[in-house]
Amino acid sequence: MNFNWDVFWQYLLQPSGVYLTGLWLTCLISVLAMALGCVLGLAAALMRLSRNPLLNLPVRFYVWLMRGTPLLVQIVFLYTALAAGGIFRFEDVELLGLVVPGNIQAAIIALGLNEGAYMAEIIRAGIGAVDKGQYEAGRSLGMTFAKLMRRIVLPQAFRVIVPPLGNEFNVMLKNTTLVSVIGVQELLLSTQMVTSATFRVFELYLVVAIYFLLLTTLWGFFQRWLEARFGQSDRPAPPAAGSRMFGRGTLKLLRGR
Amino acid sequence: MAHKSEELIIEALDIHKSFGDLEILKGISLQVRRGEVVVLIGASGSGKTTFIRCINLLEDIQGGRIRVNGRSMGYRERADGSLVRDSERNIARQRRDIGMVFQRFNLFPHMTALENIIEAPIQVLGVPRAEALEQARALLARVGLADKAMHYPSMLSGGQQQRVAIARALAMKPQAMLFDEPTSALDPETVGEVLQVMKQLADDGMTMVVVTHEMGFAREVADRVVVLDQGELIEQGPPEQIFSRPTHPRTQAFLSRVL
Repeated sequence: MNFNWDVFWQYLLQPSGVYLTGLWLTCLISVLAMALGCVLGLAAALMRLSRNPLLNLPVRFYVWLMRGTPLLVQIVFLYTALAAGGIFRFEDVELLGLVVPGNIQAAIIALGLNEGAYMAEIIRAGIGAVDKGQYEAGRSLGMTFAKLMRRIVLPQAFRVIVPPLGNEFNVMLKNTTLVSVIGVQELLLSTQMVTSATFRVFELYLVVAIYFLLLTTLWGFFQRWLEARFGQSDRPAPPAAGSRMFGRGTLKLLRGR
Repeated sequence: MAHKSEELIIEALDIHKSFGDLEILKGISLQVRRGEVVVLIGASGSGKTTFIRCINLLEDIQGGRIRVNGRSMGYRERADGSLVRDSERNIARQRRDIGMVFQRFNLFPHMTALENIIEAPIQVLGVPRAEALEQARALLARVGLADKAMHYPSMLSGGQQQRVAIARALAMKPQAMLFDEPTSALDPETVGEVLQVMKQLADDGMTMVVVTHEMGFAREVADRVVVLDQGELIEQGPPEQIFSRPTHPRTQAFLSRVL
């Protein structure tokens, strides 16, 4: 077998700068694309709830389109095809003294747009899981739709949304490898670059696989903690005075205080 | 009784309501004076729950007018007499005047009893937090739950939850309170504590419209009992008249089944 343990251990334990940049980009793109996906998903889910076809038809179209085409095609289409067609070209922009390359912007937007469609369905299901009586109680207290959503429905929906949201982020971490096709130097492309110089393909792809396994495992721990904290049903928190199902910080965030 | 005035708080005029082809309310009119306690009784499916839900616009109506405190609720009348629904913001504003207590309590499960009560005063009326908290504690004491302020609804019994729900509705300082079968989802042993709070509320002069199967409560607390049957108001009067000398044969039939 052509396997060099020295190379394997070296790249696994003492990754080069190229590798670390790749790792950093993978995390950054995942987090930003996920955040974009959540925002889009929430907006889409709320629009989808509307009885007005001008609001809910565009969302249905968006979800249909994003779920019906391969993510890889969407990425290439957004970055390469739109530019080639002379419609839109992602340019490098300077943000807070940092140059953000166009392909990274495209990567985040493409992954975020795709994620938004899935999140829309997840959030819609979460909202749908909130008891109808909660709406009536809020309405009878004089709440408008916006207030009702922000204060009553979404905090409850959140508990249903957390578990699938965790799975979505796991998928997102792995899907970032797809943006290597538009030249974003995340983990996979970094690995490819190193292999083309060292020809240690087996060792290096094994290392990259282990890296991803590490990322998703770490996330898994975090996800379990998240679910324990937020994904509860209406079961009471332990009856210690002032104990809460949500942390104070999160509650404030959810309530917009 | 002395504190009853002639001022009308709730006026429902010729309310029509259908679900599809099924006509639930066939033109019901009801006037409730300030401080009056009106109890609606009738068989299941008679439309009493639907009727009080129409009063605070949890249900659309197909015909009729609703006025609360002299102000028209939720609908504007077009020149041709048809009704158009008012804006969401206006309807939300009008609902503040009417408290509602539901059969299934509908407390907010992610908030403590205290937070349930201060939520709407702070968020809807803009009451300062300290003031809302003070008021909420007073209300909890009034319904006998001062020690449950930090409890989540899931930690409370049905009767306790319903009393918190009553306090939550009262926190908006409503002109009238609607009760939709407030004891129907309760264990028998907790029914009494809720009825006791409602009776206290009635004694304090609150205007109340109550849908209930608790005939004892109707007999004891109601100023007026209204009998609905198949979407029509068939008879109304003081409780002793309705329970002792009902005139309508369908009232007699209903009462003979439940009493």
